Amino acid sequence: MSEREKMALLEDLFEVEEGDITLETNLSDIEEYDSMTKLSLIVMMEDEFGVKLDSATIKSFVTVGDILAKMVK
Amino acid sequence: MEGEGNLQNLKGEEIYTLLPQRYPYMILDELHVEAGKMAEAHIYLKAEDWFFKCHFPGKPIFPGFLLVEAMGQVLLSTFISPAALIDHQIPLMTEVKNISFRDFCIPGDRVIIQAELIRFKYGTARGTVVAYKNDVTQESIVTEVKMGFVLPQVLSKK
Repeated sequence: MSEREKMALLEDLFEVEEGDITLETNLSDIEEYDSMTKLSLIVMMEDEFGVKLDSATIKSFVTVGDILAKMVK
Repeated sequence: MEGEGNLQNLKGEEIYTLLPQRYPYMILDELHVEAGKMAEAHIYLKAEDWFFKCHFPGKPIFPGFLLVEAMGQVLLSTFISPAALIDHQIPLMTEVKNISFRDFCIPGDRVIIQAELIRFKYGTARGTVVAYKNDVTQESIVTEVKMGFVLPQVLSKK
């Protein structure tokens, strides 16, 4: 999966338009990055990448790039 | 999404075929659903409705919590799957954002609730829901909120 495709997954998850977020975007600046979106993120990572996220890992995410780094097949 | 675009017009207990809530918590009188997209419901408030006896004696006002519950039910109708009623995997309301009430309803009013599903993916659903009093105009909005639901099997992943 290309980086653009991964970003598209996150844009959909965060309900933002294409180009609204970059790898450097701080997650705290994304309005929809809340507890519900984090649940969706857990399911998305499992369904799309087979990656199980625990709460400590999620808490360690600071930027969009931190999430992208875990999106590995 | 299963059944997307499917139109349903339900009245009274016909609504039980789609939603798991039951009277006295289910108070929608009519429900029109376009699965995967939007829904509209009507509640015809009557003086003999159970909640008016207690909220408040001598001064009947439709309880705000019950309006929020009804709004959640309308949004739920846009994405709930028939299987959820069979295996009790009922989506749970987990988010009601920035709610404020601009008006209130009393016996004789018709409450109109319109819900639009924004997304239903990866075990969560979000949508916008607006409640109107008697007419669908900007002036007749009682409250409008963004709501969210989570499938119970997703909650267990926390």
